[in-house]
Amino acid sequence: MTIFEDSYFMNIAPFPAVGIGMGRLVARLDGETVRRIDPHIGFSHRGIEKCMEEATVLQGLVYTDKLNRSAPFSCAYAFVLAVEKLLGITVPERAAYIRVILAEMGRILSHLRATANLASETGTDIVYPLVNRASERISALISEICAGCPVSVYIRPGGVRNDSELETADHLFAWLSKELPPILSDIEGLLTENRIFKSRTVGIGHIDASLAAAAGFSGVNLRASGVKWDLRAAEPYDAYNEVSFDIPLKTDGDCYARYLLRIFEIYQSMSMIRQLLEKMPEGDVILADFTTRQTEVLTQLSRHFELYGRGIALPAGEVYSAVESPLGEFGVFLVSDGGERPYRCHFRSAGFPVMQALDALTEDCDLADVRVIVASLNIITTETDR
Amino acid sequence: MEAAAYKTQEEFGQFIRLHFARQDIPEQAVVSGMLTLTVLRAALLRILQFLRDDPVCRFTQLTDITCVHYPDRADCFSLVYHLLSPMMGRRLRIKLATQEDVPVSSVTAVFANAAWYEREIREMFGVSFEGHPDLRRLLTQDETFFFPLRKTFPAAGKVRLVYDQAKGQCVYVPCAKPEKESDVRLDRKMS
Repeated sequence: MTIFEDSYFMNIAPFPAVGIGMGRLVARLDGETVRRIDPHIGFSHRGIEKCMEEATVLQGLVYTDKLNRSAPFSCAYAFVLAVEKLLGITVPERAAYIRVILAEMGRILSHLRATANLASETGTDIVYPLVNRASERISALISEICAGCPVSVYIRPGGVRNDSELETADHLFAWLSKELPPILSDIEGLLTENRIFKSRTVGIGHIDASLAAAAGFSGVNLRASGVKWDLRAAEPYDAYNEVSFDIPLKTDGDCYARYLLRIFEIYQSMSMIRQLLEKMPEGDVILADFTTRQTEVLTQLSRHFELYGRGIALPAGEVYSAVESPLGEFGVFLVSDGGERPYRCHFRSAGFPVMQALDALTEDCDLADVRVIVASLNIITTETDR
Repeated sequence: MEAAAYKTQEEFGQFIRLHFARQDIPEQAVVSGMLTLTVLRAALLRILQFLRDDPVCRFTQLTDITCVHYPDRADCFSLVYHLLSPMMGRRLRIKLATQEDVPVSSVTAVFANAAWYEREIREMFGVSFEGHPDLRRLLTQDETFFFPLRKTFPAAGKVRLVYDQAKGQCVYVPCAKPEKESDVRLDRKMS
């Protein structure tokens, strides 16, 4: 990399221009060619790791829900799995199924938004209304499952908060078969073979497999480079053992490959939700010890107060647990000293290494392509900064 | 495949320890299903290099680095490295105990993405790193003169920023000391 004498600095902010969160890129330009990029992050840093040390598990779940608003449940899910691993409990089968359905709905939502952001950066704003229509329906369905609260402490240690109504399954089936496919085919029709879209994305923001793996990439960004690594298949948690699904793979490693993979994964998620709904077992959705409903049975009522007042006692130890969030591997490293509050809770965010690799990804690219590359990587700064 | 010979985590840990002197990796344990090696400061880089390049290990990805503060211990910071081998489907945790005034060698030469993790640990815990290319702040603002994630730092903060009418600018004022030790810790004492 040569820095020419007449190069100059330029602030690219706010970034990402579309989507959630804020950040700043300081670019060193030579004409219109980017020579170096120095991402400045921390504008969305809320010290959630410190807050977790002061919160019981149920209180802490509210913080984790706020880490990544574009993909509901992904961060809370990892935290709950870590707590359950520490407690050594297995959730009821029905709860495991419901969790995976919700996680996959969150994935569809996140992938759709990422696609719309990418399309908007390449000048195709018409994708937004389509995605908004789909995401409003997904939010309504999630609210229906979670009994009225879209961002909720729904996935919690021991299972899920409450069971859903009988007709919810029918609504989900109708959504999967009638409502979502036309929207997806519209989006694909607008983008996949669009000459302008392809000229802005094909070959742009290329990273090859070994570099992506060494840079700590995960999820779609890693699979677009040709590394077949998906935590849902490699380290299956909850009900991912029960479903069959493909792991779409591309080897190009450019913006277009990442876009295509997101679309392919949406279809895989739809098939997963359908399989789980068909096989949905009957039974409880939360272990009796962790039920936080007020009842008339005195022992349960006292347990309810214990859970809310004092919190769940975590056995001493340390645990790392990760989920395949829509952005990639989201991990939680939990250290407990035996109290109700974690001694230390560290989040491994999927966007952090990606943000770090922006310099390598944008080397010698056009200034106009920076925004496209950032949008294609689907970086959510609230998750990156924690 | 040679790797199939090391079925259990313990056996795999023994295999790794065979390549180093006994004092380099004094401890090995399987904690919540993950093999955890405690290593010595001097051997850290060599061990990571071996784990990355050895054909049986192939830990090509550094998942993350973090730190835990134990104020009561002599080596009060515990650095935690998580490694991942996508090819072998294995994870590994490496721990290293250190103090505030002794720098740890940076692992950016082995894993390039360690750079930002080390920057974050530097500003959040005050652990310093040797041989790091760029130890600027990452998440906090320039005026942060404390280490927020240390256990000795209260979650409510020590100072707060208020607007001073007379001076016409924002100034830091110390937080009022809580009368009780901490309200949130109250219920733990009750039990």
